[in-house]
Amino acid sequence: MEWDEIMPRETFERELQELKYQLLILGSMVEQAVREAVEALKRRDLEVARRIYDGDQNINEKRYEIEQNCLILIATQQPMARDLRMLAAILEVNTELERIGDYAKGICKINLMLGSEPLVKPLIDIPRMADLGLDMLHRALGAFVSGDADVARAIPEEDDKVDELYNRVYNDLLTMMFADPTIIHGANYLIWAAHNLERLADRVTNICERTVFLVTGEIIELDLAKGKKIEPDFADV
Amino acid sequence: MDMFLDMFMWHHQNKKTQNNFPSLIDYSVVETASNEVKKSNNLPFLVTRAQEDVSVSLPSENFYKASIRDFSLYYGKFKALSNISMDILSNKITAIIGPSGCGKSTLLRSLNRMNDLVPNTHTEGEVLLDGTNIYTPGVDIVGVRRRVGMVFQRPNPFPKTIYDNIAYGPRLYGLRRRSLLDEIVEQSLQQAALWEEVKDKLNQSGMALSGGQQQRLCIARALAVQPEVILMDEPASALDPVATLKIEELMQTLKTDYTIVIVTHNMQQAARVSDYTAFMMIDSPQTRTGILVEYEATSQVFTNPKNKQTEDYVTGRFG
Amino acid sequence: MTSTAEMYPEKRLIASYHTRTGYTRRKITNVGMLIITGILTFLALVPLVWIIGYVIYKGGQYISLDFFTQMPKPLGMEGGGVLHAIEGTVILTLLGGIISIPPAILAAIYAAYHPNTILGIAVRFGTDVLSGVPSIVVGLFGYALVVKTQGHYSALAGGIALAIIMFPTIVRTTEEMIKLTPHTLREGSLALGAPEWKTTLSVTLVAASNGIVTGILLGLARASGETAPLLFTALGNENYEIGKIISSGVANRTGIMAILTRIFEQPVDSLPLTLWKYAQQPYPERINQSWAAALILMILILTLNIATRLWMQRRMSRLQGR
Repeated sequence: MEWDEIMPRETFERELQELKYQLLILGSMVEQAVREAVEALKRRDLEVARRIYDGDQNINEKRYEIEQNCLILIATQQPMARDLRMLAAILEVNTELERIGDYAKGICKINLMLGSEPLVKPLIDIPRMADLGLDMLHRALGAFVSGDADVARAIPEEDDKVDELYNRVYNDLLTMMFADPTIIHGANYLIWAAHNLERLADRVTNICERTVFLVTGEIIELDLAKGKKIEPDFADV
Repeated sequence: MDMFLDMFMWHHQNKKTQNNFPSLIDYSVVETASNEVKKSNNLPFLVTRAQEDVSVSLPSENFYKASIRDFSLYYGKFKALSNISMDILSNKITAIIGPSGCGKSTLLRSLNRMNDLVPNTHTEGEVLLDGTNIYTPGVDIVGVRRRVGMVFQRPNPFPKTIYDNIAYGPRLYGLRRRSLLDEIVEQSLQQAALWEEVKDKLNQSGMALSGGQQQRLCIARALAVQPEVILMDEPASALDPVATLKIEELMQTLKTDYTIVIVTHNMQQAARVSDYTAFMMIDSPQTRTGILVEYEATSQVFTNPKNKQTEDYVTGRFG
Repeated sequence: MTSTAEMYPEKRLIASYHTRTGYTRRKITNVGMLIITGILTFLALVPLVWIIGYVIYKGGQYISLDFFTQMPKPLGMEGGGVLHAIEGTVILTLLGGIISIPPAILAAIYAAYHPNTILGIAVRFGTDVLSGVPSIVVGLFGYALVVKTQGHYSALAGGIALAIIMFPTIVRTTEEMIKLTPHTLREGSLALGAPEWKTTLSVTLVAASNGIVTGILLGLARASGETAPLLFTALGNENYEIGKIISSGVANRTGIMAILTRIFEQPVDSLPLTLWKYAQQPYPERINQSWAAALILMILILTLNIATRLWMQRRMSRLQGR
């Protein structure tokens, strides 16, 4: 090895990279959970629903592990500027992912509570919502770890499509309930499931905001005013 | 002397290949997590890369290289260290931190009996090096110091050529063959990341180098006798920030072959480089005897120390 | 708007220092002090320049190549040189150095590393006292020790007397130089497992060599200028000619030891001794020659000094790579 080749902070860099991998692993765990939860609801597979419901514990543990490692890195490596924002953002995204995991758990819970009751209607828009939301999540995580602010700014715009689908599901089910009050129980559960998926997309928006913060240091609200800046004034802190 | 030579050759032929593994992440967890992911058929694109990294081998053996047992040290009537007990893990970096005058350096110097140089020193307890007490009467101090090398606060190259600086140790142990000396000099300088800079001026004085280079020369000089443990007494305190960070990276590569114990005033440095951290302080302002307060994994000491005094020190509220 | 000075009264005091008057006063004081130190430095240099200049002036008139290469002529005759004294000075100084340097360095090492032991204190106290002993007493000691026991004056006796003269200088400078070498250097060697003697020989003495050589040089310079210790020991010998001793030794195949013995067993002259003797004689020729001898002595010591200094500088710059 040569002196010029030694990069200062190489160990820290490696550990930070490792932490990002861990976050991606959590992301894929969550993604998988949501996908399977919706699949299971569609197919009314209680066994799979139970497995995912219990499996949420793994997601929670993974989240705490990442948080712990993140804190250790902050404590031992004295990250500054970009590195500090990265670790703060990882903590934030970590929490968002865990919440998304909870939505998967929620959908499974609905499935389990429905029990042997058949679905009030075949699921079409809800899996579509899931596909859209998960696709957003997947790309948002990619943008996060690669620090791509442009991609991160674009993703929240797709949230409208999810909202649109949600409104359709909501209206459809509402109409059905008016027509046949006996399905209120089952239809209400499906509205909940759809609501969970709508929230999932909102959380993806949060992840994208963190990505922009990570890259530019600016805190922006991507869903509200579409990119209106909220200037953090660190001098006042 | 022949036995020394044999050991020398043996050490050189058995140099472990270097592999870098991050100290922080427990790979077994990654493995389980990735296996969970692998079970599903839809793998996210980046996780496959994490998967490859898992193949890095785990540290095969964790054993105690040195053990300090109920160790006390007196300078005349003054008790400088009291009842210190700690185990130093092999191929890890152990940092000793604490306020000034708490006996950090004294403890460090006890590990290769450098305290013997101070008149009227006597000790109680044991320091075991691979299970053998180095304070047993009649033990070969020269042998102890060969196995436990030391790097000092200020770079202290001898007023000799770079080559002779490195070859000083091996020559002490009777090595005279030029070809072998050449090999040792090159290898030591490479390990200390100095070879490229000095390979064309080995016959120049070691004192002609810059401060950072001098310190690496001193590291190379210590490595040249193939020690098992390297003691570092504030090795970066005279260096600029970038050189300091580079030396820290160097230590990370050295620990695959050596066990490192470092004393540092710089708490952040201890946090950055070490795997285990010992916190020392004085028991009372009157007696000023150094005691070991806490000895834990570095991540533990700097995020959630068990002892209140340690917490006060690492948070900067005391010391 | 209130100014800072009004708002904070204590700052007004500080502000007054920045006024024009305060600045002018300080500037005048500064220039005044500079002038005074300049004058005093000049005064201190006057005797030095005077002495050197006068010796060059007086001695320079009588100096010639013959003066270096010729033996003295009989009294009253013109010409002749002081070759015998130059040779004697070299022999006596070398002999003194050879006798005193090794024990002086060893004593210095001991005193530096064991300053608080009885022997260490004794070395320091002894050398202090020795350097205060009048040199004529040292000459008497040499007489009692060597001349009395051997029964004749000799270069050896003079060498021993000079060794005693230079001993304290070498001990004290070497001790100081060893103490000045960084302790960490020693530790660096000991931490590699080197024994103490090895550390001292190959690290400490090398690091301190510059100072030690300077100390030795100081000792040699002092000894080569001494007259008093030689009065009762080397005595003086106007027929001392090393070339002759060696050539006759070679011709008779007596061997090196016999030649050396012949060199050391005879009484010898030295430059200061010759100077002293010639200056007392009523012959103007001899008095002039003593001026010339003084000039040679001065040049000899100065050359020794400058040459060593240059050598040391080159050595140090090589060591430090500058």
